[in-house]
This record gives sequence, C-alpha cells and structure tokens, in this order.
Amino acid sequence: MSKELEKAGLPVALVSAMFPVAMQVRANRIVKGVSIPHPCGDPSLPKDLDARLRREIVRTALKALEAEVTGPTVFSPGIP
Amino acid sequence: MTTIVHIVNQFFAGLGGEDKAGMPVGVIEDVAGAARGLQLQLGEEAKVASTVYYGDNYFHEHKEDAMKAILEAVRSAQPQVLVAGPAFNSGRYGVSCVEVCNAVANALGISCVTAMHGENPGIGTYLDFANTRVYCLPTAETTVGMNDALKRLAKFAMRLARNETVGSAQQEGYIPRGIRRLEQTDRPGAERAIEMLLKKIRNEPFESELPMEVWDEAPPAAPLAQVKERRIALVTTSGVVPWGNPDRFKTYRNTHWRKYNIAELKELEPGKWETVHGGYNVAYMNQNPHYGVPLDALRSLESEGAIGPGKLYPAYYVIPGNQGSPAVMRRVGQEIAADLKKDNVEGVLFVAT
Amino acid sequence: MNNLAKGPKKDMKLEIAEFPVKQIRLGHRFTYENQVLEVDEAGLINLVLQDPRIGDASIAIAMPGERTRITGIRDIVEPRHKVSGSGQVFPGILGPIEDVGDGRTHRLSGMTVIAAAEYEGTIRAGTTVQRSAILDMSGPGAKISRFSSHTHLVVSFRIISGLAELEAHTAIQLAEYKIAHRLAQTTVGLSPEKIATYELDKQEPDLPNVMLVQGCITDPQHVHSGVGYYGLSLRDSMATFLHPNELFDGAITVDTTRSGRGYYPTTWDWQNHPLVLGLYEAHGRTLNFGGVILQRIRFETYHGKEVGAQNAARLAHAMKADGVLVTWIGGGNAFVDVMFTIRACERKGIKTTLVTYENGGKEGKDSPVLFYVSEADAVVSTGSLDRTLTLPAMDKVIGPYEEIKIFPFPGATPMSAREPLSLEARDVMIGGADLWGQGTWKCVEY
Repeated sequence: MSKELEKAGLPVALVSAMFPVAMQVRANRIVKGVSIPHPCGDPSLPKDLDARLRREIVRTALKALEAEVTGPTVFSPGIP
Repeated sequence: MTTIVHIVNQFFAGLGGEDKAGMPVGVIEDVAGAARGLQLQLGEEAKVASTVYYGDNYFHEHKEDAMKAILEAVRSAQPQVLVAGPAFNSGRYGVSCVEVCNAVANALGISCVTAMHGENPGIGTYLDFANTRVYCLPTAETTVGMNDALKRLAKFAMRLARNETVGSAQQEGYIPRGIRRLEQTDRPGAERAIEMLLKKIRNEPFESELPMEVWDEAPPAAPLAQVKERRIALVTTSGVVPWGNPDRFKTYRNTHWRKYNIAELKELEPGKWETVHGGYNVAYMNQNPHYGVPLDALRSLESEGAIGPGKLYPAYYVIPGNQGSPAVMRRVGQEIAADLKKDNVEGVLFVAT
Repeated sequence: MNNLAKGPKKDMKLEIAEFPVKQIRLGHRFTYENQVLEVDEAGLINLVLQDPRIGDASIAIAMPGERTRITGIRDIVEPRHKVSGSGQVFPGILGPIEDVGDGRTHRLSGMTVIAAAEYEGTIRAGTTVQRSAILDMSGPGAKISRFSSHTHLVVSFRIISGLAELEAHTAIQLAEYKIAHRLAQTTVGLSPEKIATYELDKQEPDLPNVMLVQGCITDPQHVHSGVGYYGLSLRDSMATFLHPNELFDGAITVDTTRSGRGYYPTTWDWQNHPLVLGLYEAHGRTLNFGGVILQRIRFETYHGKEVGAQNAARLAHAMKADGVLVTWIGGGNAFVDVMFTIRACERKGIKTTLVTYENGGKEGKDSPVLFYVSEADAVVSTGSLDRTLTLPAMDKVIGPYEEIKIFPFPGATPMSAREPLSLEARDVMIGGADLWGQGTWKCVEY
C-alpha cells in the first residue's frame, strides 16, 4: 500500500517493527518500530519516557521524509 | 482453416534495424520476415493472414495511437489466435509483445502467445498482467534460437486455436504467469513433503511447489525539503477506529478505508477509540491508541515547530491491515494517494503493525 | 567402586489399539460391538452438567452425507484411553501431570466428539477474540473438510453468562475430554481391530535423521496462549523436544475459544498429526525419525524472531538432524519466524522442506505467502485458503446457534444457519484449512 503512495509521488516514512519484510517488499524509507503490537512506543516504560520515545520515532520519520535515498533504507530512532 | 495474425517489430518484419525504430504501425497482408518462418512451421494447418509491425521506439513513444492501429488491424483480420515475437533479449520489443497480447486478449477475447528469453524485461510486465489468455514461451537469448522458437510458437498457437485445455506451466513448458490454482492431486501433502526432503538430502533434483518471489524496485519518491513547511498526513494499518467501529471494519480481509477527523484533538483518549484487527494482540493499542496513531507526539512536535502550524492533515486514514489481499491493498493505496493529492498533502507518515 | 545401576535405557513404545466406529446410537448404556457404539445419553449429559459453569446440554449424532450443519463448534477430539503405561490421556488436564506416550492406548477411530458451545466472550477484537466454526456434513462444505467423513457425537451446551475466556475454555475442554474419555473406556477388555506400534529406537545407521519442526503461534499475554503443553500455556519460550508419542496421548492441547477456525488446529489434529504419522511410516525404511521440535513463533520484534529461529536450528543440530520438515500454525508475520528458522537450519547444513498453506487472493494472482528467504527452495503447498465457498441450505442444524456470526467483529450481523451461506474463505469451515498436508490439495502455477 505504501508503494502506491510513493508511486503517486508522495514520500512515505514507514514505521514498522518488521523491517526485514518492509525491505523485502522494497519500501524505501523505513523507520524501526518498537514491536508489532505497539510500533510507536513501549508500554513497559513509564508514561513520560514512552511519550518521549514516541516523539523520537515520529521525529525520525520526519527526518526520513527529508532524506535522499536510493533504495530501501532503515532509519533507527535514537535513544531520546 | 485457422487464421493467425503475427505481431513483429520493424527489424523482424525485414524493414530495417535501429535506424527504423521510429516506424509507425503497418500491416503486410500475408507474410513477411519472421512471419514467413512461422508460416513454414504451421504448414497447411493454419494461415498467417497478416503481419502487423511497428518500430520499437514508435510503439513506446506513441502508445495510444500504436495500440489503436494494432487492435484495428487485428480485428479486421479476425484471427483465432495471435502470435507476437519471439523477442529474445530485446527489451523494448519484449515489453511491446506482452502489452499487445494483453490488449488484444482483453479487447477481442482471443488467446495470444508470445516468446522471449527469461530475463527479458517483458517478463515483468507479463507477470503483472497475469492474463489467463496470454502465454509466453521461453527462448534462447539470441536469434540463434529462432527456428526452435518459431516451431514451439506454431505448435502452441494451434493448441490455443483448437481451444484445447492448457495445463500448468510446468506441464506445458510456458513461463508461469503467477496464477496459482487450487487443485487436488493424487498424494497427500505430507507424503509429498517427505519425498521432497529425502530427495533434497540425497542431492537429487526436486521441484518446489512454491517458487520464491522477488519484488520489483519502486524508485523512491523525492525527499521533502524543509519538512516543517510541508503538509503531512498519517496513514495506518493498525486498525485504530472510533469506539463502536461505525464503519464496520472486519478484523481481517478488509476492502474499504476511512479517514477520521483529528483536527481539534490534541490526543486520542483511550475509551473513545478501539482497535479492530485480527492479526496481533490489540490490548496495548486499546490501552494507548497512540501506538498506532501517534497524535500526541505529532502535536508535541507541532508546538515545537518541527511540524508547521496547520500542516498536519486534519484526519488520519485507516484500514485494518490483517490478511489484506495485495491487490486490494494496491487499490486502497491508489485511492488514498488520490485523496491525499487532492488536498495537497506532500508526505506521509505510515504506521504499520 | 562404581555403584551406578546400569540397566539399558528403554525407549518409549506405544501400542495404539484401534476400535473403528461406523455408527453411534444414543441409548441407555455404554457398549461397543460390531463397530457400533451405544452411549448412555442421560449419563453423558449428567457428566457435562456436573460443571456449574455449564447451563444446559444436549447430545446429537451427525453422520457423513446428511444434510446437517453443525454450528458453534469449539473443538474436535478423538476418544482415547490409556489402559497401560504411565499417565492418562490429556496429562495436566484430564490426566495427572505425568509422562505419557508409553504402554497401550485405545482409540475409537472413524468418529469424533465435537464440543459446540454458546459463548459470547468479553474480548471484542484482536487475535484472542473467541470464535466458533461450522461444519457441513454434505455438499461443497463437506468436500473441503477433513472432518466430514467422520461420524460425530456433538455435545451442545451453553456456558453460563458472565464467564471470562479462561473459565469458558476450561469448561468447554473438560466437558469434551470427559465425554471422549468415557466413550473410549467402553472398549476396555475388548479385542481391537488392529494394533499399531510406535517406537523410535531402531535407528538404521545408513539412513538420514529427520525431525519435524512444528512452529506454533502463541499469544503470551492471553489467558490461554493457544498451545497447551501438559496443560500449561506455552508463552514465549524457546524450542523444546517432544517425543511424537506424547502427541498421540494428548500432551499438546488447544484453546477451545479459538480452536479450529482459520489456521488453528483442533485437538484431533494434534492427536492425528499427518507429518508425524508420515515420518513414523517412513521410519526405519527411508529415514530415521528423530522426533519433534516444538517451537514457539511470532515473536514481536525482529530480534525475537531471529533468536527463536536460531534456537530451533541449534536444537535440531544438537539432535543430529540431517533434515527437517518445517511446518507451522499461524498467519501473518509469524511466517517470518518460519522463514528465519529455515534459513538458520540451512546455514547449519540441515536440509529443510516446508509444508504450508497459501493465501494469494481469490484468483491466485497475489503473492501466495508474506515473506521469502532464498534458502526456502523446497516447499510443499497444501493449497490456498482464499477461495469463496457457497454453501447450500441444510435440513438440520445441530449446535447452540440457529443464527451465526460468520465474522466475529464488533457490530457484525448474524445470519440464519439453515439458509444458504456465502463464505469468503475456506478456513471459516472447520477442517477447511489443510494445515499440515493431511489432504491432497495443492496450488499449481499457470
């Protein structure tokens, strides 16, 4: 589905825990999600750290949208 | 008497090489070039009523006109079957053969057969179309294999003309189109598996029942300069929807998508949203929908200035992604893309589970 | 001085005594004669109603070829009873927590006990929502299911309201296992039609050592993870070794609130595992059957998947496997664990062959599976689940539901069970998904 968005000219930052699958289907800007049932965060963290992690993941996604890439590229959110 | 039309490019029509690749569509009544070879193989069984040719470049540069002319020429000859190529390793020719076959099969309802080398780019197009009426036979890389290719094309064309049932790709020797049909065999899968494993252990040849697939490249969309000045939208397959599931999403195999308003919201309150998805443990997402729709983080970045004011699209798009057929997901992707572009969205944050 | 008592280590040997059933009669006593099983109907109902979690119960018989539809199916089990050897069938649930897989076990073949229960559940969506299946005994639905050729004793009952999933599951499972066990006990003291002997200890040195790697999807956070090992839910553990005889005696069991739908097997499937039976058949002739590796899959991070895969491969390697059959229960991203496992085995020089169902959409034009590794070059396809099925009207409905919700999603509308039904996939019918190669289905490429 994200490939269709890209084909239409929209850059897509894909947040997914399963980056090998994303790479195999040739998604181009892949942001490492935490885990399949909770890609944008970690429920085992205290609420404020979880929120900070989520901001970092989204910030990384925005950076990915600005990045020039030539093929499937994985962006890892930094430890906030 | 079976009637056949043969599609060739300008070179194989005997009209010239690369310098003539800009030739428009033309029709030769009777046979010319490679079509002569095809007629020889067909003998008395069938007649090649006409040879339709075009310049490789012309076809691709004037596709609409070319197709129109080709379809008209084929239609007027009223053949029982169409033959195109063989294209060997010639890329532009191979792709055009497949495109012509696909168009003729759909418009006129007749079966078509073409031929080319396994690495010809035309094969990719052939797999994309997966047209049950279009077949492609494998050939050698160069015209060294011409006689052999024409012989096999003639034979296959006659079977199609006689409306014979065509078996599987493995049985018949054509290049599979990736259409997998459910059938019963004479032996249980467990037995076939043990036999296959033993062959593999003994280094004996075996045939896998499911070939590995390689996805094609999609060139990346251009990056956004200054993302904080761009309109960004969120799309998700996590299945987060308003409580009560007002648009009746199923937990798997959905075929429709929706967008839900987030314009006035600073965050998603748990209890006002629920997760409809059969493919993962939704407990976390239900407790905190931000794991799939990170609105709190987006608003926070907005107040920091990392996302421009008013630049976050006022709705998020969702389709629960469990077991969605790729064909459906492609269509959904196209529809959402159209909707986003209509509203001048420039980039997408896509959260997948 | 060496005081160790050194006796020869005896391997497990299980004799399965078969008593085929052609007909079941509802009557007043338990007898088995000439392949006819008579059961004490009132006695069985009382057995079920002993559990206060069950509101009311009834028993009906369904035979192959009848225009009957069974609804509300939660699980299917084959009646078995151990007459010798340690433990009893379904250790940790019915039987004590003890070794099983040795001695002699009686089985009633050609028939099953079906547990059909009315239960609404407390979970609305996700992988742990309760679901039930249907079974047609004739027509196109019967054609695709491995259960339509058996005679079934269907126990229909209602779970009292307000019970959460674990209580409901326990009540359903105990009811079906108690009934199945009581039926099998009818054969005690009688002569079986035939005895099959299962033991692994005659290893031929020239034959390759082959094991089965059985991947199992589990929901570690759910009250019942989906796979029970001696009655304990397998959650996110590493791989473990199973002697195949343990499966025959019911060491592995299911979550009855989800069994039989989609890619979940029934208890019957674990008791009659086609790959285990196939490997036993070949044992000593073309291969040495080395046993079963039970592997938990669908780790939720890439790290988990890779660790789980390599762990299973290491276990196979330690057990000197030359080759492994790999199969799975699961869907979606659990398949990535399966592919990583194949890759890890092949990299250790252990040859693999995968047995799997496919998706690929209704026309078979989409990708048959989610993910590939280049090492998975030997695959047996058990056919696609993505085919629609149109079921005709039936004369009789057995089971707790006269109306059924084919899709258990929030807000779904129920349909009448007697009417023609349109199913959008084969796995809505119990037994419609060939998980482990029991059937002769396959997908062929055109």
